[in-house]
Amino acid sequence: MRIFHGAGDGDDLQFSIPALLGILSIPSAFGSIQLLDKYSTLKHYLMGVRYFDVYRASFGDEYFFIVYSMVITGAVVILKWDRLFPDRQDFDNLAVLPISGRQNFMASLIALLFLTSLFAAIVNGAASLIFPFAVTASYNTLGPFVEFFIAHTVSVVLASFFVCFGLLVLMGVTILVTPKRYVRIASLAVRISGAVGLAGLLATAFTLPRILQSGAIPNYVTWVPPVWFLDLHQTMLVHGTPTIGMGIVCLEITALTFVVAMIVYSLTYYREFMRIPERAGLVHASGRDSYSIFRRCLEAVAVRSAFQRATYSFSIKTLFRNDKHCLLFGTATAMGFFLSAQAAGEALADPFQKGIDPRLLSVSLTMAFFTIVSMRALFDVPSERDANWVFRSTVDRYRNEAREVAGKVLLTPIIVWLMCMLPVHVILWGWTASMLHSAYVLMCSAGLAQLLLLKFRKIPFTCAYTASKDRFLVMVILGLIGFSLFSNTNARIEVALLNHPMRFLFVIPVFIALIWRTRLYRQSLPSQERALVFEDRPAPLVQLLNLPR
Amino acid sequence: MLAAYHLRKNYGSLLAVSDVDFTIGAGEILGYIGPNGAGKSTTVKMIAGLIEPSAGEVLFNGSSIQKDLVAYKRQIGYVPEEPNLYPYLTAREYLDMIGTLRGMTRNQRLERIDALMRLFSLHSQRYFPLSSYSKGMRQKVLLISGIMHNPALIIFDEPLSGLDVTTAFIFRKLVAGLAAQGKAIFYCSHVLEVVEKLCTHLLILKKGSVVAHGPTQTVIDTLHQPNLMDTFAQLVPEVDTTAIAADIVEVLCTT
Repeated sequence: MRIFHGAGDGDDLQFSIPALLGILSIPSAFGSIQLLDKYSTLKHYLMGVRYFDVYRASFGDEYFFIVYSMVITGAVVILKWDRLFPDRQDFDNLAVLPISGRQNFMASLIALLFLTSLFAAIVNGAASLIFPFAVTASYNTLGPFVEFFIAHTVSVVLASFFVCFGLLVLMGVTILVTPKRYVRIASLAVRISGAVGLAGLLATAFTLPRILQSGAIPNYVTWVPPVWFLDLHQTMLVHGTPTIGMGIVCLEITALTFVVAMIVYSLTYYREFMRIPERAGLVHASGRDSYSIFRRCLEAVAVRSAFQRATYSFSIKTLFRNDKHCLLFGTATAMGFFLSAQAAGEALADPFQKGIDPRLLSVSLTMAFFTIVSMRALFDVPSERDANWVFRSTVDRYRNEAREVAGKVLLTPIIVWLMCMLPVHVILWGWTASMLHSAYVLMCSAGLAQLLLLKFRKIPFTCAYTASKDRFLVMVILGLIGFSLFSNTNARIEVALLNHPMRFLFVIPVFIALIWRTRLYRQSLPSQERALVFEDRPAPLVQLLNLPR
Repeated sequence: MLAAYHLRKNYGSLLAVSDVDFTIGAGEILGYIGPNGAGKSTTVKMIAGLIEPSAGEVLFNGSSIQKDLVAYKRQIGYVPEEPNLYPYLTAREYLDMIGTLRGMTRNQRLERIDALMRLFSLHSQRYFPLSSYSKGMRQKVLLISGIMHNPALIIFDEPLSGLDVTTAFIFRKLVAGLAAQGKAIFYCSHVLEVVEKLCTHLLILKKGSVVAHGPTQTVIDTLHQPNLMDTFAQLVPEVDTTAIAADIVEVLCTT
C-alpha cells in the first residue's frame, strides 16, 4: 500500500503506481500500433517492395522497446527509491505486531518481487502482443508470431528485471557503505547519476541500432546493457543476427544481479530495519550559524525587503535540501550538463578553424535553459503544503514581491555558473568576448525568466498543485521547441553579434522592451489575478454566485 | 482589544460557525472550547485572518481586521493545531524565516531565537533538521514562533499537544505571565482542567453556536456545577459517555 499510494496528503508530486503504470504502458502500446503501418504487407505491395526483411527491419524497433522497458523501470525505481526498503514508519507499524523479523522480511521481499513482475508485465504487456503481431503479420502461420512473441517478451521483461535489481544493488550498497549521516546526500547523488544514466540509455536508442547493423561495431558497445538483451532476442530467433555474442551471457548477468540484489536487500534489511529503534535518538546537525558575508552582501544588494529575504532563503533551501525537489532539479540540470558536454565534446573534437564556435557558446545557454525551466516547473510543486500557513498568516496577498523573488532565485544558479565558467571562457575567447558572452547569457536568462513568470503569483514551493498535469505533453513539446531556439539558434545569433560587438547595442533595447512589455502586461491584469495564491485549483465547472435572497 | 461580532462561516451548504460574538480585552484569556466539529478551528482561522467570515466581522482595537490585514497580522501571534513545519530546515532557520516575515530586525531575531530556544530546552538541537524533532519539540518551535515577536494578541490552538509535563507546566505559567503583561489571549483547547485554571473567560461552542459565554467562574456557578468538566458535560450532551464506554468493554468481552 505504501508503494502504491505514496507518502500521503502532503506529497503533491505523488503518482500512484496504478496511474503510473497506466500512463507508461500507453507509449509502448501506441508505438506498436504505429509500427503496424511500417510492417504492412499491403503498403509494401502498393509501394512495389517485393522483398522486405521484417527481422532486419525490426532490429532498431526491438532495441527501442528494450531501452524503453529499462528506462521506464529505472525511472520508477528512482522515483520510488525511498519506499523500496522498510523505514521508520514501517518499523512503527510492524514491530509491535506479533510477527517475527523473518516473516516481515519475507513479506517485504515477496511484495517487492511481485511488484517488479507486475510492473514489467504491465509496462511491456500491450507492446509484447502488438509488436510481434506487426512484425510477423506477413507470415501465414502462427509459428513466427509465437517465436517472436517469446523472444521479445523474454528480452524486455529481463531487461526490466536487470535494471530494477541493478538499481536495488546500487541502493543497498549505498546504504551499507555510506556513513549514516551522509546516506541522504549519497543516495541523492546516486539517484541523480542513475537518472542521467537512463537518459543516456534512451539517447542510444537513436544511434546504436545503426551502428550495430553497420558491421563495424566499436568495443564500447559491449558495455551497453540494452545491446545484451537485443542479442538475447536475436539469439532466440531462428532468423536472428546476434551482434556481440552476449545473448546467453546476459541471462547469467541478470541472474547474478538478482542474486546480488537479494543478498544486498537481506543485509540492508537486517542491518537497517532492525537497528531503527537504536538509532531513534541519533540525529545529526545539518546547519550552522550561516550569517555569512555572502549572505549579508546578497541582502544588501539583491534581496532587500524582509519578504524577499525570507522567501529567497526559503526557496534556495527548499531546492537544495528537500529530497524531492533536489532530485528533480539535479536530474534536469544533469541532463542539461549532459547535452552541454556533448556539444562541447563535439566542438573540441572538431574545432572551428576561424571565429567562435556556436557549439561552445551553446553550452552556457543550454545550462541556463535547463536550470531556469526546471526550476520554474518545480516552483509549482509544493513542499509540505500544509506548512504554508506560515506564509498565509504573515504575508499580504495583494502587496507582495513573490514574482521578483522567484526571478532572483531563477537567476542565482546562472550567475554562479557564469562566474565559475568565466576563467574557461577567458582562456578560450579572451576577456572582451567572455564578458559579452556572460552578459548576453544573463540577459537571455532574465528574459526567459520574465516570460516564464508572466502569470506567476505564488511563493515558490508553497502553493498546492492541482493544475497542469493534463498539459504535460504540450509543455514537453513547447520545452523542446524553446530549447532549440534558446540554445542552438541563440548561439548562432550570438556568434553574429560577437563578430561585430557593436551589434550588442541593438540587443539592449530589445531586452528593455521585453521587460517593459511584461511589466505592462502584469499591470494590465486585474488585482485578483495578481494576488498571491496558495491553492492553484482549476476553475470550477459550476460557479455559485451566492446572491442575496 | 479583539472583538468578534456575529461571526458566521459557511462551507457551501455546511454552516460551520453561526452568530458567534465575543471580546477579549488586554490581560484577558478567553478559553474557547467545544466538541470536535463545533467550529473552533474555523473561528481560529477567521480571527487569525486566514479565512474571511461569510458574515460578521472581527475588530482589532476598534477597526476591522480586513481593512489592513497585514498590519493586524503583524500584531498577532498564532500557534496552529498541527505542527506542520518544513522538515529540511533547522529550527533556527525556520524561526529566523518567520521572524524575518514578521519584520523583526536581524539583531532582534538572533537574540530572541537564541534566548527562547535556550529557555525551551531546544538550544542544543538548534542546528538539527526539524524532521528529527519529536512532536513535543515541534510544538515548542511553534510556541516560540507564536510569541517571538512579542505580539499584542496571541491565538493558541491546542498548544499543549505533545508537550512534556515540565514544558506544559512552564507554558501555563507563561500564558498567565503574558496576560499579566497586558496581552490578549485566545486559547482554544480540549484540555478542560487547564482551561478552567488558566482562562479568565470562557466560551463554549456546540455545532457552530455559542451555548455559554462569560467569566469562567460565573459560567460554572450559573450551572451549579463543581467544575468545568461537569459544566461542559451538561451543556454539550452529545452522547452518553458512560454508556458508550460500557458498550466498548462489553464488545471486547463478548465477541
